[in-house]
Amino acid sequence: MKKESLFHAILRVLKKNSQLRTGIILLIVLLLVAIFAPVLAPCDPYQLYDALVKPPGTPGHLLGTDGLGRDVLSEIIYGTRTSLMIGVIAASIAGLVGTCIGAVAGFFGGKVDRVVSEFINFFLMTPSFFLTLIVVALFGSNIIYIMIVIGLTSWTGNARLMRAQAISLKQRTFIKSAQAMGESRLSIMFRHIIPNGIFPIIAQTTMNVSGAILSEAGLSFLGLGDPNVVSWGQIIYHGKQYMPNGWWISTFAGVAVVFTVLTFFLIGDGLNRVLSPKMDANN
Amino acid sequence: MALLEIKNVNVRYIMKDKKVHACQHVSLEIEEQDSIGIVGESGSGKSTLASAILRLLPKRITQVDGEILYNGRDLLKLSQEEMNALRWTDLATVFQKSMSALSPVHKVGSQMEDVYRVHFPNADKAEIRKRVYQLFEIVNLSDRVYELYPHELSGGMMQRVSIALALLHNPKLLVLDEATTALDVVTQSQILREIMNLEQNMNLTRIMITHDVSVVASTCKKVAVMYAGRMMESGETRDVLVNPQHPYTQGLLKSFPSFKGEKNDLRGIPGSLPDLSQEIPGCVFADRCPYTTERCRTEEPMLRSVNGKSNWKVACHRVGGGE
Amino acid sequence: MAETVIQVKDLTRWFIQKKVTKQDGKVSKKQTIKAVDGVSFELKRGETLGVIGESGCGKSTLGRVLIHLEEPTSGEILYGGVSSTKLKKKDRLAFCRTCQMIFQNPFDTFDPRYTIEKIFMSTLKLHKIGANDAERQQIMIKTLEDAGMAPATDYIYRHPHELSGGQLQRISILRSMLLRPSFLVADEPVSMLDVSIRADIINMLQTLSKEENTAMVFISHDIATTRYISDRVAVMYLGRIVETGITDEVLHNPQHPYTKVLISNCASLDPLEKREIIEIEGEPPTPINTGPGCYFAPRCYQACEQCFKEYPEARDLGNGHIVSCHFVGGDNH
Repeated sequence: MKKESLFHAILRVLKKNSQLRTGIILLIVLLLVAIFAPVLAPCDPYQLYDALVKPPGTPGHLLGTDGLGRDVLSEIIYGTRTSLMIGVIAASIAGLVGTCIGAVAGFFGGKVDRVVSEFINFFLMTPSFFLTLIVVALFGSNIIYIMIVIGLTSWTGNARLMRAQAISLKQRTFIKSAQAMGESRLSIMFRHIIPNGIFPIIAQTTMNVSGAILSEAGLSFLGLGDPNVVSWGQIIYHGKQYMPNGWWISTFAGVAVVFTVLTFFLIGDGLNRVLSPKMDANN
Repeated sequence: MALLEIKNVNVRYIMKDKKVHACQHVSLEIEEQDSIGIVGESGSGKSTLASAILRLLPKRITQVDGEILYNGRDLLKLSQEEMNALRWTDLATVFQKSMSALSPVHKVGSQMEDVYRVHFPNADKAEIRKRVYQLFEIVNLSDRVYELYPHELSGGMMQRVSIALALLHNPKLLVLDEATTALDVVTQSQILREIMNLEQNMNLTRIMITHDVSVVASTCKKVAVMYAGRMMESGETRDVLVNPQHPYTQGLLKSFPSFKGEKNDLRGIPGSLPDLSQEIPGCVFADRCPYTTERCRTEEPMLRSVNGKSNWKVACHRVGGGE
Repeated sequence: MAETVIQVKDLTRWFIQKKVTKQDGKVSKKQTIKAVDGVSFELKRGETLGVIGESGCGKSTLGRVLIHLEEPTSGEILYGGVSSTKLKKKDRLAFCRTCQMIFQNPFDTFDPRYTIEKIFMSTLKLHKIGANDAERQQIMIKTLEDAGMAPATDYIYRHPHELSGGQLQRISILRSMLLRPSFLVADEPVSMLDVSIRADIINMLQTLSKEENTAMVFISHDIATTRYISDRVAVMYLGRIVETGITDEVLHNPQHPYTKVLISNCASLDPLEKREIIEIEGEPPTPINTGPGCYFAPRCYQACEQCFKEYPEARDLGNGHIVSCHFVGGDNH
């Protein structure tokens, strides 16, 4: 009976919030494309055809081919997998790290807070994209490294959000009452502070997905992407040199990036709106 | 003629899937220079009634019918402009959270000037300042407050500022909606004394909405007891609170520990408020009343005069029902 | 003679306020706010001490310090003769079983995501009461039904926001009493509830504390309620106890001017009663730079020169009625 009501609640929310609804429909489309890439893609994205730099509409190549004769449409379809994976994993790492660090700073307060806050500020001030660049340049451009590095450089926003949440939550009576009942500080943090303050982080993390996808595209564009996988950034990077006579190579991959970023942004913003008033009603 | 006559007022809040009857068949007469305390617990509809009188209920989600006659004019039928003209010059109100009524980034004085100019757009500064100082003296505030920001004031001072603000244009009717509830005993008693002095000097009629019966007992001439959106008992304080007739009033008074004399047994009223979105055919208090009979569940009791006093009215079948 | 449960000796709790830049550009120095400033008392088994005073007098801070939700700045709290700091260091859970607290806001006492069942079960599990889940479930149901919340299944599957304030406060009291504490702090437990429900909660607190022989500190600004439940009362002003003694003795024969003011300003239920109100000016200040004299002197109607010079000693008027005022029981006036 409980699951039923949760399901209904989700439906009701989706009915009201058109932003979230659009975002989720777009996300489902993206996921389907990623899952069924081998079925949807007309060609093998790694195969080099003879027809170089053919414009869209060429028979067999709906969006044309690139400078090495690869089918652009197939590349973009397979690229969805890479981009989604990088986006989701990197944003999750950022969410996890940010939540823990922020909760510790906010809940423990005092000296711990001062030290951790300085640490957060340090990361905020460091230009994270260049930090990513340095790490990739040093350790090589493996896709796993790229995900981890993007995740580890973008958690500061989450940490600040969680810290603010923890500071306001720890004034609430139920935290004091948990203390009075004898729960340990760590248990209070993980069982009461984080679960009650996580909603803005969830919304923020969805938005971070789009940020991570952009970061990866940026890295690839600079030639630091993982050369062994197809990604949208790689396509754009490759198409850059063909701009004058092959505009379609970069353009369609760029459209795909914009589309995905928009999807996650819509979901993130929608979640933000849905989750905050609900929290108020619960209080 | 009464200054304010509330006749059979019903207020319904319209929700998505239900209507909540916040006030039902409420009637009350308030004479000039009366002081009346409307007492009730949360959910009794006392604040709704006050908002209905002041026409402060959000139009889209409420449905108000009945008549609220102020000097013979029905407030519910006035246009927005006519109503605005009455506000502050005739009707004024003080809420519990006056802190949120004032802007935090402007000085108290300049906000009072703004309010003054609503009715006298061309008033000059010196004139307003004189009037404000005069009011500050009445509510026992120093002139210094004029230049302060709201966050620099204590709770008691804030409440005094709100009262001064309400009195700016010599209103005839002052509605205090839990205005002193959040204050400390000493401060509350200071402010109540000041308000009572005002009444004598300024020809003021006062409606006090509160859940604290002792405040009404010590400051009001009349009292009206509300429960679940209905008027249970109303009359002179010294009648109703000394010799309560309605079982709810009796129960309410027994719930208060006494301060003097023997330590009497404290007894609460068992049960809880009925669901106000349902139609209740009989008396709303029947579920919690110790004397409930068959008739209480089927027929709604009307307000009737008791003990030969025309202004002492009780809505209960047990009382004055000729049984 | 009943055994002493708690002894409080010269307890203080100070807050340090950092430098504040005022609007006129002046920077005020570090200030110490003395929320609790030298409080001492003792409670025996089953005894209830009512603490009354206006908001900001430090009564809530005192409550929190007593059960170590905040650490005291100085002074000692002895539970059964053992220092509370030691007790807490040795075994936090055992310390929590010694002293418990009922909070003012029942609507916020429980994690909003938990059901009542989960709230009870996690407490029972934490303190290892009951051998297994089935036994704990039984304890929970019995506790609730004994307290008149029958059938318990009506309540335990609900979330806190689905219950009324009165029900939540009952659950809060029951949960604390499950640990069978020897000492209980009740911080304004009924001030947020409706009048008709208050009486039941007060009666429940009283019955349970007498049954379990629990000593209790009942913090409230409502003098009539405090009178009803307390054996003794303590009147606080700016972090200090100014008068204490047996409830009716203090309330009907107040000696300290502040107690007199407080009591005379209490509205009575009886509209016919003629009251004589002692009027004083102003509101209690924040306890910063309290000076050497009596803290109440600036507002007191009978303050003399001496009152501004030295803080009056506590004098015992007999029968445990202790007052700190130069005008009372002294030899000089």
